[in-house]
Amino acid sequence: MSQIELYHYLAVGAILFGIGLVGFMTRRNLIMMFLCTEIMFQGVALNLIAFSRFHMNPAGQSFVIFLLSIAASEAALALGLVVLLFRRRETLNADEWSEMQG
Amino acid sequence: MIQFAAQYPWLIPGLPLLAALVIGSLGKWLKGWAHVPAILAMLGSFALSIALLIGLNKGPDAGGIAPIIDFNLFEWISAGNFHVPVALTIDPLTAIYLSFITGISLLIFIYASGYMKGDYGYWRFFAYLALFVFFMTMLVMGSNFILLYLGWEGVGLSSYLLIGYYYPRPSAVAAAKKAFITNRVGDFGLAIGVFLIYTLFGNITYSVVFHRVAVDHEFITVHQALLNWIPFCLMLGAFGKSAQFPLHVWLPDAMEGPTPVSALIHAATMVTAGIYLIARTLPLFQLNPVSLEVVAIIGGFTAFLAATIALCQYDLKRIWAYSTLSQLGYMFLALGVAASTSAVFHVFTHAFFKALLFLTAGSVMHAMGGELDIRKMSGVAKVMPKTCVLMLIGCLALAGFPGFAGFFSKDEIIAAAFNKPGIAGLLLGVLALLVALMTAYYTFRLFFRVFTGPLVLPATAGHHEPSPFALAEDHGHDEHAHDEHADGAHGEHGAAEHKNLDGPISMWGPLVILALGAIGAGYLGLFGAPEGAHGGWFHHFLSPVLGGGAENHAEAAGETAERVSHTVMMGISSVVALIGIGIAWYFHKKNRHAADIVAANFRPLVTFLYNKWYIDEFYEALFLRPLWVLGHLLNIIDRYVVDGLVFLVGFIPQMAGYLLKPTQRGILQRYAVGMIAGAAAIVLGVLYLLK
Repeated sequence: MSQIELYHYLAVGAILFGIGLVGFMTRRNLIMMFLCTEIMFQGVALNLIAFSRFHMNPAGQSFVIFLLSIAASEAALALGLVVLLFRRRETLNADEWSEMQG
Repeated sequence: MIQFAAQYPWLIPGLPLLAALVIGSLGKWLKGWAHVPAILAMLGSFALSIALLIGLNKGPDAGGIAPIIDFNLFEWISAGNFHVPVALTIDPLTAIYLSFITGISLLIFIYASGYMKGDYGYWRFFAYLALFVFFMTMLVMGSNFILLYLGWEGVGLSSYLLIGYYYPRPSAVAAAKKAFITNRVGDFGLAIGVFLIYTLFGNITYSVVFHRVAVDHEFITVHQALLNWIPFCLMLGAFGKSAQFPLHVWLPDAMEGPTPVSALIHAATMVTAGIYLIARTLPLFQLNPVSLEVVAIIGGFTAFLAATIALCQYDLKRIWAYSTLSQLGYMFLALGVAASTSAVFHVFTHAFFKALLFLTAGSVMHAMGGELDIRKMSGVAKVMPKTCVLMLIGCLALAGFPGFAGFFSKDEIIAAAFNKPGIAGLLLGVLALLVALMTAYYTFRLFFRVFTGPLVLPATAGHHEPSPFALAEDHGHDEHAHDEHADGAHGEHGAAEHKNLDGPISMWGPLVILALGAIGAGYLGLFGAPEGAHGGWFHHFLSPVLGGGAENHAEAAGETAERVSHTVMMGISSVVALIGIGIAWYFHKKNRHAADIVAANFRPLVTFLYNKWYIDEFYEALFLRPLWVLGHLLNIIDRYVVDGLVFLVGFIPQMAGYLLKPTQRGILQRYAVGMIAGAAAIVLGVLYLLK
């Protein structure tokens, strides 16, 4: 009970992913939705670290370092796009941007 | 010259082909000079043809040439055992045909250079004419059935092109199609006949086939059943091309073409291809006597039918068209009663006087501004004295007036019909005499109506016929011009009466030569034969090829005494011709009013004949209407059934897209749901499979 097992890491990762998923689907604010995707991201990254430790293979951890740096640059890009969208319509509601329909 | 012609006989069709290619490709630059290559080529061909004729007549012993059988040029088709060489045959029959084809073509080309002057498409006209001569000479020179068929289809094609020469005029297009389609029916028969010959004999060369027929009696008895059918197939082809009943309907309509075409193709040369076919394949016909009887009966009937129709027509060219049908009927009658030499003789003399008649009719039409109705003109002799004399010579020859070309040849045919043993011969002879009477009457009815009596000219006289191309090119303008035309005609009417409307020398010059032929050609069948031979030079010359016919004739004469001797027949037919001319003179010169009274008394008969026995209407009801209905039925099926299936196939993807459209709403969260659901489904699926 005192020992922290692999399952615990996986559970935390799954919870983070679930929170992000629910948040992504329920929120309409673009910035909130973007933050939710980041949370999902971290959940997945946690899984990688947990497995890397479990298998005693550092490759997984170094992978996550890359992943984080990519996520950071991607976040900068995405936030820049959100600012541009906001300037166009003065709103952050995702439903406002639904022209691309069949 | 003779040796040269014997060495290079292929130049006879070759020169017109070259002319056709030159005019066809360079015509736009040649413009008004387009007739020059054609006429030069025809001069060359004509000279070579005459050289061959003289050479053959002299014979190899006297410095001439022997008949050339299978002058091989090159191999055209070679597939397994099937070989078609392009090989020429020059024998007396071919030489006779060549001489009048090239001779009459030459004269008509010269005439046409005056007649068609300034016409839009002048070079096109000469290119077609030269092409026609190429195919026609190939038809008579080929040494096998395939080359015959090539020429046969080729002349059909040129005929189609020339009838439809005035293509902006719907009636010309309809006539061209009618001629082509009617000929297809006949050509189908010819094709089947050629297939049968190849299947039975394994060869398509005349000399091989006829030799086998002559010597291999066992072969004939074994294949009797099929051999009996070959003449009927060939006959169908001949009837189509030579416009015999029931395939005669295209020829009168073919007069839609320019008049030189009517003269050359639809009167003098192409339509006699049927006679050539039967004369050439006579050995096959002789295997089945029934087929010859059918030829005789159809020929006799067509002669009668066409003559009765000609009695009541009013269109100048149409009367000559029906008389052509009638004369062709005579020729088939002669073939059928085993007088094939007389048939070819009549082809030869007919070529001269019928070309003459058509070309003089063309001159009249030209002078009258395109008017052809004989009720609208009278006393034309006063303004066209030369044409009148020329037409009179042609009419005398056609009517069988003693001493003119038609008299000798026609009279031989009538005598041959009488001398055919049995009751059929008597009936055919009487029929032929009756037709001769009608021919004399309708020929002179036209002549007296048009050339004698008080001077009446149609309003268009003295003006050029408005070109149908002008109508097509500039419709609005033309109507305006037409009004001016009419005004001008009224104003100048007095002047037209004193004007000479004979036309340029290029138009009446060739006619003089034709007229000399129409007078003199008949004497070739009377004199010039060696002592004791039957007939004249013509018969003697053709006897090596058509000898079979003459032998039969002699045999028949030996068994049953000749009913009518040739000399007596000449007397009878002169009397008949004179009676016909006399009746025409009374009704159409002396007392035209009487003709109207007689016509009024026989109104139903006149209407029946004027409408050509209603044969066109009958065909329309029997073939055209059902085909029209069938065509529309198939159109409906195509439009609603076939097209329906195609549209259905196109409709499926459209429908699928329509159904899937609501999934693409542009709402981000819905896409996310879709993605997650998809990912979940894949994960669940993988888990299920791994379990």
